[in-house]
Amino acid sequence: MTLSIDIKGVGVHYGRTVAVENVSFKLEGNKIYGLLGRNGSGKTSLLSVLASFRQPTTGEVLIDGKITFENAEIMSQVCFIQEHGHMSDGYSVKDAIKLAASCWPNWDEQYANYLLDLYQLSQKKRISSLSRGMKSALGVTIGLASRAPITIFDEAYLGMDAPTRYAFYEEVLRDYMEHPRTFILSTHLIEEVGNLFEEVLILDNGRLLLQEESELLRQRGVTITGPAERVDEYVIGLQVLGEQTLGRTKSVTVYGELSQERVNRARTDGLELGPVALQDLFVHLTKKGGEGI
Amino acid sequence: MRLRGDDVFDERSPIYQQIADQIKADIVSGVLQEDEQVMSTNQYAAFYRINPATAAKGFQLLTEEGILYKKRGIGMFVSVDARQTLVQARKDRFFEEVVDRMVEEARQIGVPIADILNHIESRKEGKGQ
Amino acid sequence: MTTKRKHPVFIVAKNLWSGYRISLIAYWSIFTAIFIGIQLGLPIHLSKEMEIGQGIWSGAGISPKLYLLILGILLTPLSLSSFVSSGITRKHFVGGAVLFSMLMSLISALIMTVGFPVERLLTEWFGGQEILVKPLLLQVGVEFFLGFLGYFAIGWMIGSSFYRFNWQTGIAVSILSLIPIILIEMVGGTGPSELFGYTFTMPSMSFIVEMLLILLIAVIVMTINYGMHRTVAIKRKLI
Repeated sequence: MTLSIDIKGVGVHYGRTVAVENVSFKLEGNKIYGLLGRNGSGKTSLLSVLASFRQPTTGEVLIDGKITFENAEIMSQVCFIQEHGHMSDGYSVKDAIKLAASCWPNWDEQYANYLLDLYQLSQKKRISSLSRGMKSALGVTIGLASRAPITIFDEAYLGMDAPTRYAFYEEVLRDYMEHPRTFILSTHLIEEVGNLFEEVLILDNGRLLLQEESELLRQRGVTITGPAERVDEYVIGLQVLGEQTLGRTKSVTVYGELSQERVNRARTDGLELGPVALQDLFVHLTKKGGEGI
Repeated sequence: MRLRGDDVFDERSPIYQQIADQIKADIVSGVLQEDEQVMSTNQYAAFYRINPATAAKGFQLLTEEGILYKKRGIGMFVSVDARQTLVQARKDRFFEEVVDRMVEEARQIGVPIADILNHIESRKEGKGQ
Repeated sequence: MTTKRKHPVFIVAKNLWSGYRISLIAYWSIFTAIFIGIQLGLPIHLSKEMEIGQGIWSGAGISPKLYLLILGILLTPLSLSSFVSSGITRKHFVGGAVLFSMLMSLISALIMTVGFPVERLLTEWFGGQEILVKPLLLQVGVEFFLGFLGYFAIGWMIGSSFYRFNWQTGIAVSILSLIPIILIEMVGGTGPSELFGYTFTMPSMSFIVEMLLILLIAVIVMTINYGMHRTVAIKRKLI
């Protein structure tokens, strides 16, 4: 079952603070999406609205064409995990798993047990006594074992060490291939997870900066390196995201695909064209005071 | 230990391009034989920790070029004349990409063409290095 | 691939019940132990001199009321986020919580009701005389049940207002919630009821009217609670 997501002009305000402003996008589903944004860019607010944790101040959130808020049929298909998944601190790991198991229609008990073993989570422990990484592991366990058609992880790796994080990414990918469904991962550790995303959305200051297939996005960024004056001349008419100078050599990052003619010109000008890592592209696009795109 | 994926792909070209290149290299070197089944997109994705759609894009590229062909419900296989096609393409590119560039480089640093020819001759006789 | 599952309202009620039943058992064990202890320690001749007609059990009802009031206060702050983040709607949470509160009130009312004949039995055992009045058990049971339900609902209202609004509103609601508490005590209490030294007297009404009034109060408070939950945003941490 593929559930499409349709966000229409969504705004989330907290009193006078505007966390998300007029965001619209569509996700067709059954893909791994990356939601990227700096801290405070509105990722969590947007995801909270998507998961019916709160009502949008403006606009509409539709899943499968239906308004999501307080829609029992939809809400039981959307699992949103932040750290330990909002479970009460007084619960033991066992209580939390039991509650999740009884609530999620597609819950896979075997898989949950496998994950608990993988993360070495003791069932008897109280959530309040778990380390941050262990809380995250519990959240990840609940999120994955819920097998919810739409599963959202909001920086779910907080406190996890690198091997545990990589185990998480691998698990997401493996389970996604075995049980195709929609995953939305919000993160700023793009270098680590970037390759997992089929599509990327970037939020900046509460607004949607772009939504793009990640392979296309990767191709959008180009660095041009060479003698400063020739580089400057070359980038006229291109969208410059950032530049660096070393002596008389200059390196400029531009956004947008280069025409074949431009590529040829670079060769004759003796300029070197290079790729931009997704992480760098993200940093340039969301730079403070940057004009964005 | 570096993590898988990091050392396999550089950022110089899209990942799917790199996957395609790798399969091509395996065909040319004979690791992958004609009519042999290649790993599935999911296996590729799991191995390199990339999105299966990305891996599929690399496969699509190879199918379009006639290097791979699809058997419905079974998977992707190496085309019969894939190796020949690839070797031919590499031969075609050899002069343009290797020889022409070498000559250009030699001109810039002032190495006479005769020296290059001599060097090649010496290699041919097994006296090189 | 969707497995058959129970209605969300029952999922909520069942999970709340399994979470709180230990607390309920512990509470009533301690509570009855104390009363049996008092019974055993109370010299029979003293009770004869004092002409205790109703026994001490009848005065015990306030304690379970407070226990249920506190359970009500804790309910939403402790449990709402867990359920909504597990894909349960607020509406179904409220439904399950009402069911749960009825179950808790029913069990408590049953124990209170059964307590009267047990108390009499104990008194007769030790004193050998019938000195306690025999209350109408069905009426007593209904009155306790509705009273408990009312207290639970009021506690729940206080807790929900802290969750839904800010602490100032929570405090205001806590104070205002005295109104339904006074009403329940006035209507339900036979004869005058005292609160902060003030004595309220209600014109005597038929039992059924009294019970309907308490039920009405409980229903109104529950409706307010539903109203507070309908669009509430899920909070990360409250306590």
